[in-house]
Amino acid sequence: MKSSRKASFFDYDWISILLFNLLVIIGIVSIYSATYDAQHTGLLQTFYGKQSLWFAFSYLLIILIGFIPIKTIKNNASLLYLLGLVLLILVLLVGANINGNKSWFRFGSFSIQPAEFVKLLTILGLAKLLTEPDFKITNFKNLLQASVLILTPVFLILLQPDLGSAIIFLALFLVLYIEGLSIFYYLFALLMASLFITTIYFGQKPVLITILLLFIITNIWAYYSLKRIFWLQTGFLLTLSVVTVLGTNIVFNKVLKPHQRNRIEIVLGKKRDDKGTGYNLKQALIAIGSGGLSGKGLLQGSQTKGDYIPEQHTDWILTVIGEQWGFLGTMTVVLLYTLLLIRLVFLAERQKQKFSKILAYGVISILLAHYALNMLMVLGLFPTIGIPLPFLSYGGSSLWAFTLMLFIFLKFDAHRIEDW
Amino acid sequence: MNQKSLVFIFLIVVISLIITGRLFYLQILDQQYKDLALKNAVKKEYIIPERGYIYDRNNILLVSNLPVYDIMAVPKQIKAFDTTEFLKYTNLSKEALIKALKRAKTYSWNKASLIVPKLYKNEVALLQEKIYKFPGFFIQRRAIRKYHTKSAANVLGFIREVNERELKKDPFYLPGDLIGKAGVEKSYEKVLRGKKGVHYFLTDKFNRKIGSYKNGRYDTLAQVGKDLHLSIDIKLQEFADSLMQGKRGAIIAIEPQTGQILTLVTAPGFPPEFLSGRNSSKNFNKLFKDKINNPLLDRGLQGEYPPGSPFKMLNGLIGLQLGVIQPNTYFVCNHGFNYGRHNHMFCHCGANGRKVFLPWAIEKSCNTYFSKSYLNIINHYDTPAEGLDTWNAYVKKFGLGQYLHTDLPVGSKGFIPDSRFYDRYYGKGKWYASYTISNGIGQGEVLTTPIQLANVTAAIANRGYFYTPHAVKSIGQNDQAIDSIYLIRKQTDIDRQYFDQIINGMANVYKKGTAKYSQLKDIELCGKTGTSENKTRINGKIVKLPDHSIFMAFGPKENPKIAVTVFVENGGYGATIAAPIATLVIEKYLRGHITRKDLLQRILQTDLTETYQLKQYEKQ
Repeated sequence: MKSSRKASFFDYDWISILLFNLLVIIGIVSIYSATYDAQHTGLLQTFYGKQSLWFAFSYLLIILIGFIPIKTIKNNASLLYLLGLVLLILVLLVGANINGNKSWFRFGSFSIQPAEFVKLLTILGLAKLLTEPDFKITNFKNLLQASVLILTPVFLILLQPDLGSAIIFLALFLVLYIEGLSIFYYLFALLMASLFITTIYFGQKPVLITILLLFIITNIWAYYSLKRIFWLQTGFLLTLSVVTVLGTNIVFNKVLKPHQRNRIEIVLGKKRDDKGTGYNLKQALIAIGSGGLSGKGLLQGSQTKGDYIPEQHTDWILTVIGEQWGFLGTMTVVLLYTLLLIRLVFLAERQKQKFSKILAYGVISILLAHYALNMLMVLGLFPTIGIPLPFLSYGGSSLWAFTLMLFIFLKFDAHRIEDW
Repeated sequence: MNQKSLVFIFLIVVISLIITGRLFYLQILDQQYKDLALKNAVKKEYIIPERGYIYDRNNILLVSNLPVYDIMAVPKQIKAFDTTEFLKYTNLSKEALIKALKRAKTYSWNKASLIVPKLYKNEVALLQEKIYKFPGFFIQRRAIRKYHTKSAANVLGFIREVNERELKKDPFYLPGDLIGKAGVEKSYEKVLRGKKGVHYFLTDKFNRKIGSYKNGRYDTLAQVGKDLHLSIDIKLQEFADSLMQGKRGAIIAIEPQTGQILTLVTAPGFPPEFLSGRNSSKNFNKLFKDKINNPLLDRGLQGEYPPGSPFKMLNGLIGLQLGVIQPNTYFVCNHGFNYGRHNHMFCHCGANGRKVFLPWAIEKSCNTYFSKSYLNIINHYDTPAEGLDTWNAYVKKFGLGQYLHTDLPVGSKGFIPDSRFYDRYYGKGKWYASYTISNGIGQGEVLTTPIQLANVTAAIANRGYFYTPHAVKSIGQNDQAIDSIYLIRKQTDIDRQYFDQIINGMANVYKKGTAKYSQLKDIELCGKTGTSENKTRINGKIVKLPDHSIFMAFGPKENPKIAVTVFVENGGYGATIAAPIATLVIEKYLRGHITRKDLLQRILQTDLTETYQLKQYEKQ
């Protein structure tokens, strides 16, 4: 289908833009109450004042995006990806050292976190790679290329080190599913993850014995009922499982740092540590739980006002919403995210160009990972990792990065009618 | 929509459902977090109300409150400071400061500890201005009692910090609160302490105050403690106190028509401010350890002594009531009389074999007359046991042999023997009236406290009834009534007419009897001297000590305004010291001034310290 019409202002998806605005505004109000100080300070010294300013700037970015032809973006995608890698290397060299992490560029009082923007750049790079002629994900060499493209920034970010952001990048593997990667890879990954957790929870021996028993029982059953033994398949699963279980101890004890081990054990309920590592989580649960159905009201949250949760205006912003507006408040946010994500899937599916479709799923994967892991972390279902809630958490870097991500895709979507 | 996009939607929905489920559990199902949040952030602060003031019966202020300032410190917040400057402002020695800081650190790193207690306003003024130079230190205001009299410590009592037991007993108190420990401070604690106010406030994670909780919706105001108006006449109390200088014993004055205690002196005493202020603990230990003078013992309320001759008035009354003696009854007294086979009751009345009638017996305190009357009372019944128990019942109606239940926290029962007592001692039915003859003259087994004897005096003055003695007249600004038990008239079982006969005799004690040198012009008084024997063992030998000097009196004879009992340990004859003291107290109360300056001088100069030193041998 060909169309000669140029995309206009009205071709942007207004539903997504509305949801985006609602989330940012809820965020600003939450930041306002999280950092409320009765003593008046200048508006731009306050966190909500700054966040409002970042919000205003993000509209400048949106307008800026409007002027950049999508072709330019698409044609320079590889370059942009490489720029991302350069940024990640640069931050390791000249970045400010904050709490032992080299994740930030500092310009005077203004800091910027390159990893946030590299997410978008990696998505663009990935889209470029996957739209190369003759690229087939089922081809092992191509799969390897894609994996290296995703894992290179992961590796660089782990050097900072910033485990949370690194984990987020892994979500980009979901995009490969759209391109035809077998679901079995994901199931294997799921299996390995579950084995990792069960091994930490129950210890090595019982898990290994269970796996072995399952292997024997499956084969005996198969032999008697199907008159056939699946040596290859079950053998592969057995090997994969045993390697995972044996690897777990090494990863858990040698690779992870003590505080990371603690966080995993706290989520698994193996450890209680309400004063140390578990303090944040416990206070977060108290804040959210005490909100009840409709919350305590704006500025009425005792947990929020008492500043019991460190970082409550950034990564733990859900606690502010939970305490002040209760279940109704948190459900509103969950609903807004769900609607936004599903809307984006719809938009992705109406793309005619492969590039913009991959771009869409990249954005969806990153947003979904942020949304899911942040909330599960705050609710005590996932180990504590430092990642923000998209659009809501305080922070210019993350707000701009997510805005760019969303609106670049929305621009591609607006131009879907054009022939390019 | 293809299948792959549906997998994505499925993934999004599943994640949202997991999050929703978890939120539903946390926010709707699990209720524990609401309490946890309150426990975290909402703290209570009590506002301690001002303790009630204490006034005397003429509205003279006796006890008020004085703000004092404690220097406190939180070890964690202390930063290096100019020690010399700090010591200059606080008048503290360097060693004392180091010691106090060390103790504070051992107690708690985060909580405030006391560094210097109870400084007065002028003493802390300098530091107050410079306190910002000493982070970690702060000044805390609290109130101690300020006394406007040097007397009546035993009535007023004192306050101290609550102990563990009191904390457990009454949830009103928190550690560090003050509570009345003696006197009316103790017995009227609930009136004086008022009602604490509560202020709820929010705290942040550092336990810093960040504002009121729900705009103070649950806060309550503190209610100031109510004032006490004592029945004590502080001028009279101070005067009586001065008369007891150098003596041990008690003076008790009661208003007979009401039972209100006008004066309650115990000697030796101590000024009430002794147990307030900076050295209160040290002083308390000093008083507590002084077992020789025993200043913490209220001799008026707790001291149990044989009442001696004043007790004869009761035997006379009971004899008249039972009809075993009559106005025309007489006994012959010849320096006493013989009873049983080998026993002799001595008497110094000077009758020398003449007939003794009741008025003369009272005037001269004839032992013969009253012991014979007592024998007649006991023998009036079929068995001595029945007689004694009847006598016991009459005596107890005067409030003897049991707690009087005054409104002061201490007291003693005294002792009035009954048949069971002698049954135990001699065997049932194996004793006779004569065995108990000493009861007839207030010696022997009978023991009373000075307040009980004062109450008997009031009952005689009232011709047959009394009100339970009490030290508080009214409560609060609008004279709220005291406990109704102090407003109930208690009737004895003796008819009014018999009192008149006894009272006429007691009036003669002043006119021509044992107390004639103490009499007052123009005011007709009634009294009865007493002299009770006491002995002690020194180096294994029983040594007779100077007698206790006792006197009971009331006046004027018609429409009595004051009933007094004086008890001076080892003071000699009742007439020599107790009678003048009682009369001086009555004169001071009725006239407002003393006419017989020479008598007053003699009493003020009487010092029995040497006698008491002799008595100390028994303790060693």
